[in-house]
Amino acid sequence: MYTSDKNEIVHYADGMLHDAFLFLAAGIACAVFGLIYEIFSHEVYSFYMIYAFLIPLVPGALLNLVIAWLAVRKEKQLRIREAATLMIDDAAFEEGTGVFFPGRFTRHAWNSGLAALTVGFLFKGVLDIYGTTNKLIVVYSAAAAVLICAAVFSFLMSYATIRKMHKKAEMSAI
Amino acid sequence: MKKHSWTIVFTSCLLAFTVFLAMDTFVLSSVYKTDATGMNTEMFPQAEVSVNKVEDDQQNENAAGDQENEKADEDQEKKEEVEDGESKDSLSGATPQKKKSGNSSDGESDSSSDNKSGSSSSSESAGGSSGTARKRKPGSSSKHGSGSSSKTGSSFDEEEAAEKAASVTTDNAGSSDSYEDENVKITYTQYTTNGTTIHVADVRLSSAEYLKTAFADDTYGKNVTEATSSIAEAHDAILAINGDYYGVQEKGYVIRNGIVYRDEAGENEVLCIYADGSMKIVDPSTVTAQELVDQGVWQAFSFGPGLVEDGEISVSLDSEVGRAKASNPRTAIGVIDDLHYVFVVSDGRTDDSEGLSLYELASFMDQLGVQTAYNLDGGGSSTMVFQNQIINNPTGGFGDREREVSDIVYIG
Repeated sequence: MYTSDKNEIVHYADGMLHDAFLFLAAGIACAVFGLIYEIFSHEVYSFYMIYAFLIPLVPGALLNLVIAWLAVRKEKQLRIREAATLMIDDAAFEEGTGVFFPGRFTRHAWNSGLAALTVGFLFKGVLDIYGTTNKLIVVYSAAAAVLICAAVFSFLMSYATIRKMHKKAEMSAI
Repeated sequence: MKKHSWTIVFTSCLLAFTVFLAMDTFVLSSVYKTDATGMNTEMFPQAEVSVNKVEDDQQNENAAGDQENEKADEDQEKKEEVEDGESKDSLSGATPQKKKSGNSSDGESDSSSDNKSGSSSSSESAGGSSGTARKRKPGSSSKHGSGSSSKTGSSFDEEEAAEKAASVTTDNAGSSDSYEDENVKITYTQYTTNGTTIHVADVRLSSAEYLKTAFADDTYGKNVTEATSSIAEAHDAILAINGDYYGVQEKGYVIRNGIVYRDEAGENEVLCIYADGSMKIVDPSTVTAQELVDQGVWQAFSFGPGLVEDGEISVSLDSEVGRAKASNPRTAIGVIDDLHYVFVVSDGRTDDSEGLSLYELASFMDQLGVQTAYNLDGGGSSTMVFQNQIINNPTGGFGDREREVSDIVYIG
């Protein structure tokens, strides 16, 4: 476990909770939009329209809630142990929140990817129900893929970097 | 502010792109070809026969024991008496007749078009059916019909759909109207069945050359639209229905009046109307648009699905449930026999007329006796214009206006 400040973790957890509620609201908005759209679509259904709300709900709100819960648990553990800082000088250590939690870039990229995918799903649903197509719709999925891959890559790189530095620190201590 | 700069920038980009995409899809027009009025009439043989001759032959074949045909023969005899002394040969450049009869056609029409200057009449009938409509048990010849027990969705009741389709029949014919000249004979009949009003135009032609198509504003392009009635009026159409709305599709063959406008194959099966008047539904992945024209395809539509093939219903109760089971306005075209077509438009989405599912439409057309039938663009686009009058109840535009479409199929 790597951290420098318990308050930072609490702040981080609050941020994740904030994002989770935003995604929850977005998911509900998507569900309501899809429901209303399907009501007036004369029973022409679109898979994309119906299930668009799952994107902000599952990889958005649910994932943020899990991370927020992990952060809160970490803060509690730190409070109990009153542990001192183990690692502070790593490049991937953002805002003192710890490397096992996604940093700011990761979060921005992940959230943006989900937003692009959600809007793409909704727009694809509109096109399906209207009965038309547009080649440019692929831009949404391409942008989402790039952003989500960047988020995952960023997170894994941070994790690998800190693991490496931690092992180096342990070796130095020995 | 700096903390949220990424969110603001990304959201702005996403919003801007979405607005652009919506405009590009629904509003911004792209003209690919102006003055798209060309007709490749070289594919038509020079020897044509009068529609009356064709009708005579068909009536003679079906005359025995059929009271309707006997009546038609009597009418034909009267007609021939009236026509006696006048030219009967359409190829001789005869002057078309101008006559009207019936309740709604007092006096002579003053149309400027040759094909529009034929005779027309209207009448009210009940409990009958027009033309050579066959009485079949709905769904009896379905390839995937009510015998299938598979279900694709828990909310789809196949038995209920089958019962509903079975109640769609051609038994309740209402008001009718007709038009006739030496090349075209059209009998319009309105059916009311199972809470849905269906408009049927029975069309007999002397040549498939009279089955034409037209683009909105005579322009081939994306989002170039015009009301069906406006396009029909501009082309002096006797009868017109909306086409396949090619303008909202990026793929799918567009062959109109013998000319290839789009040669990119789509996923939908293609309806081909050949110069000899025959109609066939083809898989676009097996043939190119130019090959189709070389084979004599006069018109090709990419919408679908095919409703009836080889005299059998080719849509199932449970396929494409999301689209097929919904009761909606529909437009379809079918061929009964040589140069004998039916144009069908069903009203829907109103309190007066519920609309049809694809299977119900296929079942109805099957009862009309079609050998091949194909679903065209429906919903709010469904419009039928007969002698410059919109005879159905379009529901696609704002208020009570018709929806503007990319193209029409017309007789003229």
